[in-house]
Amino acid sequence: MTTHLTDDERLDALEGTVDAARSAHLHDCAACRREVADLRQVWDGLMVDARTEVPEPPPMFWDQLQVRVGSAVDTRTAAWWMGARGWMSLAAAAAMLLLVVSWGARQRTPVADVVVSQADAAIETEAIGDTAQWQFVSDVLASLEDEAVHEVLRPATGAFDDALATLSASEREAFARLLQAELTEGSE
Amino acid sequence: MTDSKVTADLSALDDLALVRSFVDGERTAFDTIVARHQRAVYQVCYRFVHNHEDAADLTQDVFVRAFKGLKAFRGDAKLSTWLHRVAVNVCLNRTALVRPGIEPLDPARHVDDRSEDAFGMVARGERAADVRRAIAQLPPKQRATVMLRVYQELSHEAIAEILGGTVGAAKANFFHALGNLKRMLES
Repeated sequence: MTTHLTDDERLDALEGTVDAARSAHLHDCAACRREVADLRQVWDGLMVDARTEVPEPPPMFWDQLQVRVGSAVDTRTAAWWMGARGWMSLAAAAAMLLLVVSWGARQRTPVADVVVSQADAAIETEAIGDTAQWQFVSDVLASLEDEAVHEVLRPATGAFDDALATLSASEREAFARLLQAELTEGSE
Repeated sequence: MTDSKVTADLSALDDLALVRSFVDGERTAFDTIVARHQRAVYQVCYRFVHNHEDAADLTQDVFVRAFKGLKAFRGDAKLSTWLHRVAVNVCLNRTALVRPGIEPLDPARHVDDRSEDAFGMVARGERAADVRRAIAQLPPKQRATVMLRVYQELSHEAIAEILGGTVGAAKANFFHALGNLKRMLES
């Protein structure tokens, strides 16, 4: 007596691909025939549904699909750029702020300590102006025409609001203090 | 070269050449890919959700993902197989979040009724709806296997290629899916 069909062979029997030797066993074994018959019952149920055709979509659907896909691709690409631009605008706004602070630092002596973080870390603006990094920024800006500087640092419409919206409460507070300090200096 | 001439030229290309053309910057090559495969992709999607609106959204999503992913397509498999894989993944991800809203079957509209009375059609429609509900309850990989084997009539080899894994694993998935369906349809 041969062994019963494996799961794999039962599936082959269902699909008509079981080999001859195993087919002979199936012919002689009521248990295996019952197992395959159970599978066939489910298969037949599936075929009832599979024979129902997928309904044809509205006539314009196929023509519109290319347009829809194209629009979706463009929209997602634009959304990615908007996100990237938001960060670039934030960076530009931060650079502007630092330039303002730096410029203010050069105008007054002694300079006021400016609180820039929740941890009350004070930045002495005079010291910032002396660092090698600021010297580098200063040299780069000095080599640019005013128009070019304006073009590089000009934020997109609404970008400043967007950038502010990304700041935490403490960052906004520090930012407000910096602006206030500059405005006060400017009016004196 | 005119647009119509470009389109005509692209239509003559095989899938791999179209992909290369697209990757080289010819965006209209992608339109030709969509036109060539949209019906097959739509049918896969429809079988997962059983309504046009969701199937249309899924089909769009499949091609958007394909647009982004085609640069990584190496041509190891056929483009149709690769798109099937994308479609199945998109459908499984979407339908994992929302169970499909199954439209009541209208047997008179969807099936060949030339040799069947009304009672038989209704019974068959109810049976088909039961089957769909049961399929929707299957684990994702078994469900995908049933979709591809029964509805798309793909071989176990092709299913293994689409879902990843061996032919033996694909067959085992299908076998277990049939067992689970049997239990669900009997209960």
